[in-house]
Amino acid sequence: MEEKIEKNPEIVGFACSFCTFKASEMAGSLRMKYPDGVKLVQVPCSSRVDPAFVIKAIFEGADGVFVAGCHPGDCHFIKGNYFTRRKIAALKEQFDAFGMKDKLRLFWVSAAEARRFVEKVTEMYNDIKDKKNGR
Amino acid sequence: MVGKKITNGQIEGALGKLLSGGDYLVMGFEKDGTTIRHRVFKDALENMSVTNHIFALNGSLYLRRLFSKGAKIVLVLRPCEIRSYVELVKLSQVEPENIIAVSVDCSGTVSSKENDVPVDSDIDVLGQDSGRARFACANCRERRGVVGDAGIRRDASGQYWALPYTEKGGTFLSLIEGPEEELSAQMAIAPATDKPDFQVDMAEFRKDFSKCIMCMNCRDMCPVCYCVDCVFNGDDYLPKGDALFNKIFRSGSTEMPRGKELFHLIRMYHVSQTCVGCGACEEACPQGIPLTKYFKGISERLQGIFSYMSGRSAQEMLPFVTFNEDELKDAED
Repeated sequence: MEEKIEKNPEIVGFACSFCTFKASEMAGSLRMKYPDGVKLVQVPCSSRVDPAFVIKAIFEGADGVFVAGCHPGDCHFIKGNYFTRRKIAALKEQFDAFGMKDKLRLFWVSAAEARRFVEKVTEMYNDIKDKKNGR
Repeated sequence: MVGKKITNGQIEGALGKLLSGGDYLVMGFEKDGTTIRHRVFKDALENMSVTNHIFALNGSLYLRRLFSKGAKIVLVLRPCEIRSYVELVKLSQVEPENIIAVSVDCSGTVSSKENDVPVDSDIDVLGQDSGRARFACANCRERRGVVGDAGIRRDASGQYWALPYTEKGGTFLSLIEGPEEELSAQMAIAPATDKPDFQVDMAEFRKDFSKCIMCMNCRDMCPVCYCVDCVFNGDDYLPKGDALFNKIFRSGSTEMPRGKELFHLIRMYHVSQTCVGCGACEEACPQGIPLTKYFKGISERLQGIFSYMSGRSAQEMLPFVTFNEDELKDAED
Protein backbone atom coordinates (compact mmCIF):
# COMPACT_ATOMS: atom_id res chain seq x y z
CA MET A 1 0.00 0.00 0.00
CA GLU A 2 1.21 3.42 -0.92
CA GLU A 3 2.06 5.55 2.03
CA LYS A 4 0.22 8.80 2.13
CA ILE A 5 2.59 11.75 2.13
CA GLU A 6 1.83 14.40 4.70
CA LYS A 7 1.62 17.84 3.20
CA ASN A 8 3.18 20.45 5.42
CA PRO A 9 1.90 23.99 5.19
CA GLU A 10 4.01 27.12 5.09
CA ILE A 11 2.86 29.97 7.28
CA VAL A 12 4.19 33.49 7.11
CA GLY A 13 3.92 35.54 10.26
CA PHE A 14 4.44 39.27 10.54
CA ALA A 15 5.66 39.82 14.08
CA CYS A 16 6.07 43.11 15.89
CA SER A 17 9.71 43.44 16.96
CA PHE A 18 8.76 44.72 20.43
CA CYS A 19 6.43 41.97 21.55
CA THR A 20 5.64 39.00 19.35
CA PHE A 21 9.13 38.70 17.93
CA LYS A 22 10.56 39.01 21.44
CA ALA A 23 8.10 36.33 22.57
CA SER A 24 9.34 34.04 19.81
CA GLU A 25 12.94 34.64 20.93
CA MET A 26 11.94 33.87 24.49
CA ALA A 27 10.22 30.69 23.30
CA GLY A 28 13.54 29.75 21.71
CA SER A 29 15.55 30.38 24.84
CA LEU A 30 13.03 28.38 26.88
CA ARG A 31 13.52 25.48 24.41
CA MET A 32 9.85 25.52 23.41
CA LYS A 33 9.13 24.11 19.98
CA TYR A 34 6.84 25.53 17.38
CA PRO A 35 6.29 24.11 13.87
CA ASP A 36 9.09 24.49 11.30
CA GLY A 37 6.64 25.76 8.69
CA VAL A 38 6.12 29.02 10.55
CA LYS A 39 8.31 31.72 9.06
CA LEU A 40 8.46 34.97 10.96
CA VAL A 41 9.04 38.35 9.40
CA GLN A 42 10.14 40.98 11.86
CA VAL A 43 8.40 44.32 11.44
CA PRO A 44 8.99 47.45 13.52
CA CYS A 45 5.31 47.64 14.44
CA SER A 46 2.33 45.53 13.46
CA SER A 47 0.87 48.57 11.72
CA ARG A 48 3.84 48.47 9.35
CA VAL A 49 2.09 45.54 7.71
CA ASP A 50 0.36 46.81 4.61
CA PRO A 51 -2.40 44.29 3.83
CA ALA A 52 -0.73 44.09 0.41
CA PHE A 53 2.07 42.10 2.13
CA VAL A 54 -0.48 39.59 3.37
CA ILE A 55 -2.14 39.21 -0.03
CA LYS A 56 1.25 38.92 -1.71
CA ALA A 57 2.38 36.24 0.75
CA ILE A 58 -0.72 34.20 -0.02
CA PHE A 59 -0.36 34.48 -3.79
CA GLU A 60 3.34 33.65 -3.60
CA GLY A 61 2.46 30.33 -2.01
CA ALA A 62 1.93 30.72 1.73
CA ASP A 63 -0.90 28.59 3.10
CA GLY A 64 -1.66 30.98 5.88
CA VAL A 65 -0.59 34.36 7.18
CA PHE A 66 -0.76 35.82 10.64
CA VAL A 67 -0.16 39.32 11.84
CA ALA A 68 0.84 39.62 15.47
CA GLY A 69 1.42 42.64 17.64
CA CYS A 70 1.18 43.96 21.16
CA HIS A 71 -2.07 43.93 23.07
CA PRO A 72 -4.23 46.99 22.30
CA GLY A 73 -2.99 49.84 24.45
CA ASP A 74 0.53 48.42 24.86
CA CYS A 75 2.00 49.59 21.54
CA HIS A 76 5.54 50.92 21.68
CA PHE A 77 4.43 53.64 19.28
CA ILE A 78 1.37 54.40 21.47
CA LYS A 79 -1.40 53.64 18.97
CA GLY A 80 0.02 51.59 16.11
CA ASN A 81 -1.86 48.42 16.89
CA TYR A 82 -5.23 50.19 16.91
CA PHE A 83 -4.61 50.94 13.25
CA THR A 84 -3.51 47.34 12.69
CA ARG A 85 -6.75 46.15 14.22
CA ARG A 86 -8.81 48.26 11.82
CA LYS A 87 -6.75 47.32 8.79
CA ILE A 88 -6.67 43.60 9.49
CA ALA A 89 -10.36 43.50 10.44
CA ALA A 90 -11.14 45.02 7.06
CA LEU A 91 -8.80 42.60 5.30
CA LYS A 92 -10.49 39.69 7.07
CA GLU A 93 -13.83 40.96 5.85
CA GLN A 94 -12.45 41.02 2.31
CA PHE A 95 -11.09 37.48 2.66
CA ASP A 96 -14.44 36.43 4.07
CA ALA A 97 -16.16 37.74 0.95
CA PHE A 98 -13.86 35.56 -1.16
CA GLY A 99 -14.30 32.53 1.08
CA MET A 100 -10.70 32.34 2.33
CA LYS A 101 -11.12 33.69 5.82
CA ASP A 102 -9.22 30.76 7.38
CA LYS A 103 -5.96 31.93 5.78
CA LEU A 104 -5.52 35.02 7.90
CA ARG A 105 -5.26 35.46 11.65
CA LEU A 106 -4.52 38.32 13.98
CA PHE A 107 -2.89 37.70 17.38
CA TRP A 108 -1.99 39.87 20.31
CA VAL A 109 1.06 38.43 22.03
CA SER A 110 3.17 40.40 24.50
CA ALA A 111 6.93 39.93 24.97
CA ALA A 112 6.37 37.83 28.11
CA GLU A 113 3.87 35.44 26.56
CA ALA A 114 6.16 32.87 24.96
CA ARG A 115 3.83 30.02 25.82
CA ARG A 116 0.83 31.83 24.36
CA PHE A 117 2.80 32.50 21.19
CA VAL A 118 3.66 28.84 20.77
CA GLU A 119 0.07 27.77 21.47
CA LYS A 120 -1.44 30.23 19.02
CA VAL A 121 1.01 29.46 16.25
CA THR A 122 0.76 25.68 16.70
CA GLU A 123 -3.02 25.84 16.72
CA MET A 124 -3.06 27.80 13.48
CA TYR A 125 -0.49 25.47 11.91
CA ASN A 126 -2.45 22.37 12.84
CA ASP A 127 -5.75 23.78 11.60
CA ILE A 128 -4.25 24.65 8.24
CA LYS A 129 -2.40 21.33 8.03
CA ASP A 130 -5.61 19.41 8.70
CA LYS A 131 -7.40 21.32 5.98
CA LYS A 132 -4.55 20.82 3.55
CA ASN A 133 -4.48 17.08 4.12
CA GLY A 134 -8.23 16.87 3.74
CA ARG A 135 -9.05 15.99 7.31
CA MET B 1 -34.54 72.12 4.44
CA VAL B 2 -34.75 75.45 2.68
CA GLY B 3 -33.91 75.83 -0.97
CA LYS B 4 -34.76 77.73 -4.10
CA LYS B 5 -36.97 76.61 -6.94
CA ILE B 6 -35.18 76.90 -10.24
CA THR B 7 -36.57 77.20 -13.69
CA ASN B 8 -34.95 76.42 -17.00
CA GLY B 9 -31.81 78.44 -17.58
CA GLN B 10 -31.46 79.81 -14.05
CA ILE B 11 -28.50 77.62 -13.17
CA GLU B 12 -26.77 78.56 -16.40
CA GLY B 13 -27.57 82.23 -15.66
CA ALA B 14 -26.08 82.04 -12.18
CA LEU B 15 -22.95 80.25 -13.40
CA GLY B 16 -22.66 82.71 -16.30
CA LYS B 17 -22.58 85.54 -13.79
CA LEU B 18 -19.68 83.87 -11.98
CA LEU B 19 -17.77 83.26 -15.21
CA SER B 20 -18.18 86.78 -16.51
CA GLY B 21 -16.35 88.01 -13.42
CA GLY B 22 -13.28 86.21 -14.76
CA ASP B 23 -12.18 84.56 -11.50
CA TYR B 24 -14.10 81.35 -11.70
CA LEU B 25 -14.03 78.26 -13.85
CA VAL B 26 -16.97 75.92 -14.17
CA MET B 27 -16.53 72.22 -14.65
CA GLY B 28 -19.58 70.49 -16.02
CA PHE B 29 -20.91 68.80 -19.10
CA GLU B 30 -21.15 70.10 -22.62
CA LYS B 31 -23.91 68.77 -24.84
CA ASP B 32 -23.38 69.01 -28.53
CA GLY B 33 -26.13 67.23 -30.43
CA THR B 34 -26.02 63.67 -29.18
CA THR B 35 -22.45 63.77 -27.85
CA ILE B 36 -21.95 64.82 -24.28
CA ARG B 37 -18.67 65.16 -22.43
CA HIS B 38 -16.89 66.92 -19.60
CA ARG B 39 -15.79 70.47 -20.19
CA VAL B 40 -14.16 73.18 -18.11
CA PHE B 41 -15.81 76.44 -19.05
CA LYS B 42 -13.97 79.75 -18.95
CA ASP B 43 -15.52 83.16 -19.71
CA ALA B 44 -18.83 81.83 -21.04
CA LEU B 45 -21.08 78.81 -20.83
CA GLU B 46 -21.83 77.25 -24.17
CA ASN B 47 -24.16 74.28 -24.57
CA MET B 48 -23.86 73.43 -20.91
CA SER B 49 -25.86 70.48 -19.68
CA VAL B 50 -26.58 70.01 -16.00
CA THR B 51 -27.24 66.28 -16.30
CA ASN B 52 -25.37 63.64 -18.22
CA HIS B 53 -26.78 60.19 -18.80
CA ILE B 54 -23.76 58.76 -20.55
CA PHE B 55 -20.84 57.65 -18.38
CA ALA B 56 -17.39 57.60 -19.92
CA LEU B 57 -15.21 58.51 -16.93
CA ASN B 58 -15.40 60.05 -13.51
CA GLY B 59 -14.72 63.79 -13.75
CA SER B 60 -12.95 64.09 -10.41
CA LEU B 61 -10.05 62.27 -12.07
CA TYR B 62 -8.97 65.68 -13.35
CA LEU B 63 -8.99 67.19 -9.86
CA ARG B 64 -6.19 65.05 -8.44
CA ARG B 65 -3.21 67.09 -7.33
CA LEU B 66 -5.09 70.38 -7.51
CA PHE B 67 -3.30 72.19 -4.72
CA SER B 68 -3.64 75.82 -5.77
CA LYS B 69 -5.43 77.76 -3.06
CA GLY B 70 -6.42 80.39 -5.61
CA ALA B 71 -8.26 78.01 -7.93
CA LYS B 72 -11.86 79.12 -7.97
CA ILE B 73 -13.88 76.37 -9.53
CA VAL B 74 -17.54 75.41 -9.51
CA LEU B 75 -18.12 71.72 -10.10
CA VAL B 76 -21.54 70.79 -11.45
CA LEU B 77 -21.25 67.04 -11.62
CA ARG B 78 -22.99 63.75 -10.83
CA PRO B 79 -23.18 62.58 -7.19
CA CYS B 80 -20.57 59.86 -7.73
CA GLU B 81 -18.14 62.42 -9.09
CA ILE B 82 -18.73 64.81 -6.19
CA ARG B 83 -18.32 61.92 -3.74
CA SER B 84 -14.95 61.01 -5.15
CA TYR B 85 -14.01 64.72 -5.04
CA VAL B 86 -14.87 64.70 -1.31
CA GLU B 87 -12.68 61.62 -0.83
CA LEU B 88 -9.81 63.32 -2.66
CA VAL B 89 -10.20 66.31 -0.34
CA LYS B 90 -9.84 63.96 2.65
CA LEU B 91 -6.79 62.39 1.04
CA SER B 92 -5.22 65.87 0.61
CA GLN B 93 -5.26 65.57 -3.15
CA VAL B 94 -7.47 68.62 -3.68
CA GLU B 95 -7.33 71.97 -1.94
CA PRO B 96 -11.04 72.66 -1.43
CA GLU B 97 -10.79 76.27 -0.22
CA ASN B 98 -12.29 77.94 -3.28
CA ILE B 99 -14.04 75.01 -4.87
CA ILE B 100 -17.83 74.85 -4.79
CA ALA B 101 -19.02 71.33 -5.45
CA VAL B 102 -22.60 71.04 -6.68
CA SER B 103 -24.07 67.57 -7.04
CA VAL B 104 -26.95 67.04 -9.42
CA ASP B 105 -29.61 64.34 -9.02
CA CYS B 106 -28.71 61.46 -11.32
CA SER B 107 -31.22 58.86 -12.35
CA GLY B 108 -28.63 56.52 -13.83
CA THR B 109 -26.35 56.42 -16.83
CA VAL B 110 -25.66 54.15 -19.77
CA SER B 111 -22.18 53.12 -20.82
CA SER B 112 -20.39 55.31 -23.35
CA LYS B 113 -19.44 52.10 -25.16
CA GLU B 114 -23.07 51.63 -26.19
CA ASN B 115 -24.65 53.46 -29.07
CA ASP B 116 -27.95 53.73 -27.28
CA VAL B 117 -28.35 57.38 -26.25
CA PRO B 118 -31.02 57.96 -23.62
CA VAL B 119 -33.59 60.64 -24.44
CA ASP B 120 -35.16 62.93 -21.84
CA SER B 121 -38.23 60.74 -21.47
CA ASP B 122 -36.26 57.68 -20.27
CA ILE B 123 -34.25 59.41 -17.60
CA ASP B 124 -36.74 58.63 -14.86
CA VAL B 125 -36.66 54.91 -15.40
CA LEU B 126 -32.99 54.51 -16.30
CA GLY B 127 -31.88 53.81 -12.75
CA GLN B 128 -34.47 51.10 -12.17
CA ASP B 129 -34.02 49.47 -15.56
CA SER B 130 -30.93 47.43 -14.88
CA GLY B 131 -30.97 46.05 -18.40
CA ARG B 132 -30.07 49.44 -19.78
CA ALA B 133 -28.30 51.32 -17.04
CA ARG B 134 -24.74 50.36 -16.15
CA PHE B 135 -24.32 47.85 -13.34
CA ALA B 136 -22.84 50.58 -11.14
CA CYS B 137 -25.86 52.83 -11.68
CA ALA B 138 -28.46 50.11 -11.23
CA ASN B 139 -26.84 49.33 -7.85
CA CYS B 140 -25.91 52.90 -6.92
CA ARG B 141 -25.79 53.82 -3.25
CA GLU B 142 -26.39 57.54 -3.68
CA ARG B 143 -28.18 58.84 -6.73
CA ARG B 144 -29.46 61.92 -4.94
CA GLY B 145 -27.68 65.23 -5.17
CA VAL B 146 -27.14 65.43 -1.42
CA VAL B 147 -23.35 65.51 -1.34
CA GLY B 148 -20.89 68.37 -1.71
CA ASP B 149 -21.54 72.03 -0.94
CA ALA B 150 -24.85 72.35 -2.74
CA GLY B 151 -27.26 70.13 -4.61
CA ILE B 152 -29.58 70.39 -7.54
CA ARG B 153 -32.50 68.10 -6.92
CA ARG B 154 -35.74 67.28 -8.67
CA ASP B 155 -38.99 66.73 -6.82
CA ALA B 156 -41.73 64.30 -7.78
CA SER B 157 -43.54 66.86 -9.92
CA GLY B 158 -40.44 67.53 -12.04
CA GLN B 159 -39.61 70.89 -10.40
CA TYR B 160 -35.87 71.47 -9.91
CA TRP B 161 -34.54 72.79 -6.61
CA ALA B 162 -31.19 74.18 -5.56
CA LEU B 163 -30.23 73.34 -1.99
CA PRO B 164 -27.26 74.59 0.04
CA TYR B 165 -25.43 72.17 2.37
CA THR B 166 -22.49 74.32 3.46
CA GLU B 167 -21.53 77.99 3.62
CA LYS B 168 -19.93 77.81 0.18
CA GLY B 169 -23.14 76.30 -1.12
CA GLY B 170 -24.99 79.31 0.30
CA THR B 171 -22.76 81.58 -1.76
CA PHE B 172 -23.70 79.63 -4.85
CA LEU B 173 -27.38 79.81 -3.96
CA SER B 174 -27.28 83.57 -3.48
CA LEU B 175 -26.49 83.91 -7.19
CA ILE B 176 -29.80 82.33 -8.08
CA GLU B 177 -32.73 84.72 -8.10
CA GLY B 178 -35.95 83.93 -6.33
CA PRO B 179 -37.22 83.46 -2.78
CA GLU B 180 -36.11 80.70 -0.43
CA GLU B 181 -38.83 78.16 0.13
CA GLU B 182 -39.38 75.08 2.24
CA LEU B 183 -38.58 71.98 0.21
CA SER B 184 -41.53 69.79 -0.70
CA ALA B 185 -41.23 66.38 0.89
CA GLN B 186 -41.52 64.09 -2.09
CA MET B 187 -38.38 63.94 -4.19
CA ALA B 188 -38.03 62.17 -7.53
CA ILE B 189 -35.14 60.00 -6.40
CA ALA B 190 -35.47 58.05 -3.18
CA PRO B 191 -32.54 56.91 -1.02
CA ALA B 192 -31.05 53.60 -2.05
CA THR B 193 -32.07 50.46 -0.22
CA ASP B 194 -29.58 48.23 1.56
CA LYS B 195 -28.23 45.30 -0.39
CA PRO B 196 -27.12 41.95 1.02
CA ASP B 197 -23.40 41.53 1.67
CA PHE B 198 -21.29 40.71 -1.34
CA GLN B 199 -20.12 37.10 -1.40
CA VAL B 200 -18.23 35.25 -4.09
CA ASP B 201 -15.80 32.36 -4.27
CA MET B 202 -12.26 32.34 -5.59
CA ALA B 203 -13.16 30.08 -8.53
CA GLU B 204 -15.63 32.60 -9.89
CA PHE B 205 -13.20 35.43 -9.23
CA ARG B 206 -10.45 33.60 -11.13
CA LYS B 207 -12.79 32.92 -14.03
CA ASP B 208 -13.95 36.54 -14.27
CA PHE B 209 -10.43 37.91 -14.13
CA SER B 210 -8.85 35.30 -16.40
CA LYS B 211 -9.32 37.72 -19.31
CA CYS B 212 -7.30 40.45 -17.61
CA ILE B 213 -4.34 41.66 -19.66
CA MET B 214 -2.85 43.78 -16.85
CA CYS B 215 -3.05 47.02 -18.82
CA MET B 216 -3.89 48.78 -15.53
CA ASN B 217 -6.42 51.06 -17.18
CA CYS B 218 -8.70 50.37 -14.22
CA ARG B 219 -6.06 51.82 -11.89
CA ASP B 220 -5.32 54.78 -14.12
CA MET B 221 -8.95 55.77 -14.59
CA CYS B 222 -9.97 55.24 -10.98
CA PRO B 223 -10.62 58.69 -9.49
CA VAL B 224 -9.54 57.71 -5.99
CA CYS B 225 -6.56 55.47 -6.87
CA TYR B 226 -4.29 58.46 -6.59
CA CYS B 227 -0.82 57.30 -5.45
CA VAL B 228 1.92 58.77 -7.63
CA ASP B 229 4.21 55.95 -6.58
CA CYS B 230 1.88 52.98 -6.92
CA VAL B 231 3.06 49.70 -5.34
CA PHE B 232 2.60 48.02 -8.71
CA ASN B 233 5.20 50.22 -10.36
CA GLY B 234 8.61 48.63 -10.09
CA ASP B 235 9.49 44.99 -9.52
CA ASP B 236 8.25 44.36 -5.99
CA TYR B 237 4.77 43.06 -6.75
CA LEU B 238 4.75 42.57 -10.49
CA PRO B 239 8.28 41.66 -11.58
CA LYS B 240 9.35 42.18 -15.16
CA GLY B 241 12.47 41.28 -17.10
CA ASP B 242 15.38 40.08 -14.94
CA ALA B 243 13.37 40.14 -11.75
CA LEU B 244 10.66 38.01 -13.36
CA PHE B 245 13.02 35.42 -14.79
CA ASN B 246 14.99 35.15 -11.56
CA LYS B 247 11.70 34.51 -9.82
CA ILE B 248 10.70 31.80 -12.30
CA PHE B 249 14.09 30.07 -11.84
CA ARG B 250 13.48 30.08 -8.09
CA SER B 251 9.81 29.11 -7.99
CA GLY B 252 8.79 27.35 -11.21
CA SER B 253 6.66 27.91 -14.27
CA THR B 254 4.08 30.65 -14.30
CA GLU B 255 1.16 31.84 -16.39
CA MET B 256 1.48 35.15 -18.17
CA PRO B 257 0.46 37.83 -17.47
CA ARG B 258 1.42 37.08 -13.91
CA GLY B 259 -0.24 38.35 -10.74
CA LYS B 260 -3.74 39.17 -11.99
CA GLU B 261 -5.48 38.14 -8.79
CA LEU B 262 -2.75 39.73 -6.70
CA PHE B 263 -3.12 43.05 -8.49
CA HIS B 264 -6.88 43.19 -8.28
CA LEU B 265 -7.15 41.99 -4.68
CA ILE B 266 -4.54 44.47 -3.47
CA ARG B 267 -6.07 47.32 -5.43
CA MET B 268 -9.49 46.31 -4.13
CA TYR B 269 -8.19 46.60 -0.58
CA HIS B 270 -6.32 49.84 -1.18
CA VAL B 271 -9.35 51.65 -2.58
CA SER B 272 -11.86 49.89 -0.32
CA GLN B 273 -12.55 52.81 2.00
CA THR B 274 -12.63 55.45 -0.72
CA CYS B 275 -14.27 53.58 -3.60
CA VAL B 276 -17.50 55.34 -4.55
CA GLY B 277 -18.64 52.58 -6.87
CA CYS B 278 -18.79 54.81 -9.94
CA GLY B 279 -17.76 52.05 -12.33
CA ALA B 280 -15.06 54.07 -14.12
CA CYS B 281 -12.76 51.02 -13.87
CA GLU B 282 -15.22 48.83 -15.71
CA GLU B 283 -15.74 51.53 -18.32
CA ALA B 284 -11.98 51.68 -18.89
CA CYS B 285 -11.50 47.90 -19.09
CA PRO B 286 -10.78 46.76 -22.64
CA GLN B 287 -11.65 43.16 -21.76
CA GLY B 288 -15.10 43.80 -20.33
CA ILE B 289 -14.34 42.34 -16.89
CA PRO B 290 -17.19 42.98 -14.40
CA LEU B 291 -14.93 45.02 -12.11
CA THR B 292 -17.69 47.08 -10.51
CA LYS B 293 -19.34 43.97 -9.10
CA TYR B 294 -16.20 43.17 -7.12
CA PHE B 295 -14.90 46.63 -6.25
CA LYS B 296 -18.29 48.01 -5.29
CA GLY B 297 -19.32 44.89 -3.38
CA ILE B 298 -16.06 44.68 -1.42
CA SER B 299 -15.91 48.41 -0.70
CA GLU B 300 -19.46 48.43 0.65
CA ARG B 301 -18.68 45.50 2.93
CA LEU B 302 -15.42 47.01 4.17
CA GLN B 303 -16.94 50.44 4.72
CA GLY B 304 -19.84 48.78 6.51
CA ILE B 305 -17.57 47.57 9.35
CA PHE B 306 -16.81 51.18 10.26
CA SER B 307 -20.31 52.53 9.41
CA TYR B 308 -18.58 54.72 6.86
CA MET B 309 -19.74 55.74 3.44
CA SER B 310 -17.24 57.20 1.05
CA GLY B 311 -17.93 60.79 0.06
CA ARG B 312 -20.98 61.18 2.28
CA SER B 313 -19.52 64.00 4.31
CA ALA B 314 -16.26 65.94 4.34
CA GLN B 315 -16.26 65.86 8.16
CA GLU B 316 -16.14 62.06 8.47
CA MET B 317 -12.58 60.78 8.90
CA LEU B 318 -11.23 58.04 6.68
CA PRO B 319 -11.54 54.82 8.74
CA PHE B 320 -7.88 53.87 8.39
CA VAL B 321 -6.53 57.13 9.82
CA THR B 322 -8.58 57.03 12.98
CA PHE B 323 -9.69 54.49 15.59
CA ASN B 324 -11.72 53.94 18.74
CA GLU B 325 -9.96 52.23 21.59
CA ASP B 326 -13.04 50.22 22.38
CA GLU B 327 -14.06 48.50 19.16
CA LEU B 328 -13.63 45.34 17.06
CA LYS B 329 -13.46 43.02 20.06
CA ASP B 330 -13.69 39.97 17.82
CA ALA B 331 -10.81 40.98 15.52
CA GLU B 332 -8.32 38.81 17.39
CA ASP B 333 -8.26 35.05 16.79
